[in-house]
Amino acid sequence: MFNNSGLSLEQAPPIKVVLRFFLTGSLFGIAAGLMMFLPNLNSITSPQALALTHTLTLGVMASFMFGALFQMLPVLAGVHIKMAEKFSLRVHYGLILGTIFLIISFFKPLKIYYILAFLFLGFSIFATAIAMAVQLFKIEQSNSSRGMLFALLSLFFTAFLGFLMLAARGGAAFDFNYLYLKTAHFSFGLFGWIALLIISVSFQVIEMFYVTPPYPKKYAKYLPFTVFYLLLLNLILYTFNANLKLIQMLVIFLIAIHTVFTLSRLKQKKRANTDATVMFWTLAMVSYILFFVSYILNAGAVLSAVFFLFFALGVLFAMVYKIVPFLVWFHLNAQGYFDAPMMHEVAPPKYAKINYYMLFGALVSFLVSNIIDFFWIAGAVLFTLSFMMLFFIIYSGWHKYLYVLKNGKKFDLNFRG
Amino acid sequence: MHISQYLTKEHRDCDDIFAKAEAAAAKGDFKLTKEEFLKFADETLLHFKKEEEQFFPAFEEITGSSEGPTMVMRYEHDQVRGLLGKMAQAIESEDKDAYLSLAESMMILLQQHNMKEEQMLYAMADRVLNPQKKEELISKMEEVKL
Repeated sequence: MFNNSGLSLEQAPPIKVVLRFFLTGSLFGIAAGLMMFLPNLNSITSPQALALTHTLTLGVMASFMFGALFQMLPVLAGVHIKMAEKFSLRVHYGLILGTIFLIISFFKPLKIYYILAFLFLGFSIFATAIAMAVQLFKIEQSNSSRGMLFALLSLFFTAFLGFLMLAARGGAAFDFNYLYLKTAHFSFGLFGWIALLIISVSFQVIEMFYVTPPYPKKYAKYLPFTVFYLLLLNLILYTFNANLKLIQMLVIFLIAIHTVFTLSRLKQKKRANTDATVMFWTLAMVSYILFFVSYILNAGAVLSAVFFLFFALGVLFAMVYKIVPFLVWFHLNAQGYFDAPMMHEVAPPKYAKINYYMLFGALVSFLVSNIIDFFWIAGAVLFTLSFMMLFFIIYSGWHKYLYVLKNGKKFDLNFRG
Repeated sequence: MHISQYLTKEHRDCDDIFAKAEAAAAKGDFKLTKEEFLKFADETLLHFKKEEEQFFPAFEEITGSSEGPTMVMRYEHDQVRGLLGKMAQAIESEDKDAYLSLAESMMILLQQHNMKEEQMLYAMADRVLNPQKKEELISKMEEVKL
């Protein structure tokens, strides 16, 4: 007998599971913005730069990715994450503590911090990557779920290589070229995990959210596979102390093709509204093309890193501005609340555009800082403000949800015939 | 023809009409919005009826359960029907902001629903049903009227 509102909700985890990750991710984003005021960021191996990089990748990207995965998998892949709430909470705490200990370890290289970072991050990353990948393996693969699977495998490799590096820093001796280890860690992290994640998300949402022509089928089927196996081939070559830069170049080129494809799809979108999320996607794709150019021209590690960062952040902001207001509305509406706030009430389009211009302004400021140093500060301020605003949007969504839950009028769903 | 081709095409057709209605609303042209929205609502409701009267029972026969995914799909259809009503109200009161905001929810609700149908239900039906059964089911769906 159909007698409650939870049927559809049974497939989705409670809203707090997702929002918890998103709020933490935004707080790490604010922390990253503040870290941008630190000295020595020009050297990408300085403790400050390493701390900043891992705050962005683990604190921000992994938090948002895990939150979105816990939410999206049931929809995207028909997967029900059992015990989503308890499991996600443990993963969440592990990720926060592990990231903090790792950041501390860059400044205070003590074994205890390496061990704590390894334990907490190891648990949260491996448990999530394995649990999600196992579920994804079981289902009929779509291009998006296949891409997600390769992104998760890449995250697994990234973390594994990262832990080898932690062990090496802690004094363990390996018969492995540390430089290659570092390059493989960074390649799997950026081009495997983050880029494949973005690619698989774009396969699903670009066509769906903006009503665009689909990506070519064979291309969508083989791109994640090709990128992943090229990265793996590179890793194998590294273990033989061989370094074929051509492979990495090919991977970067393939991702660049994807960004061009995505831009062309967005240009052909049938939905007339150019909301901020389209602008965020465009910013992301253009940033990657600039990353590609700066990489080819060898324009410097910091510049390339900034472009890659905005590639990832553009997509992240675009997704948050779609997911959070939808979830607030969806969860309340599904429980029968008449006054479930509409999406634009949770995240007003005007605010989304202001947030876009902040983030865009941060990118421009970082670029200008190559000529006038002071603009780095302006970029850091705008970057911090962008994440503060994102935090505010997510928090106010959560607040509105709780308010309606407490004060809203509810429709008795048992009346349904 | 495969079930997935037939029903997925209806999803895409509805998306196209939806986009036209939304574009008209964004321009403040409520006459055109109403025209396109009514087409969208008719196409969507007809598609739901085809599924509920023909496809879901056939799917339930395959799985031997009427309380599995089809029950969730029927529930989501009801959510969409509710939103259609609210969107119609927004058109009547020529409230552009409300219409565009509801349209955003409708789009995501519909798309995540469509994804589940396309990736699970339609794909499974295509795998399990023989070609003759598929043809029969499609002709039965063709006969459904609003």
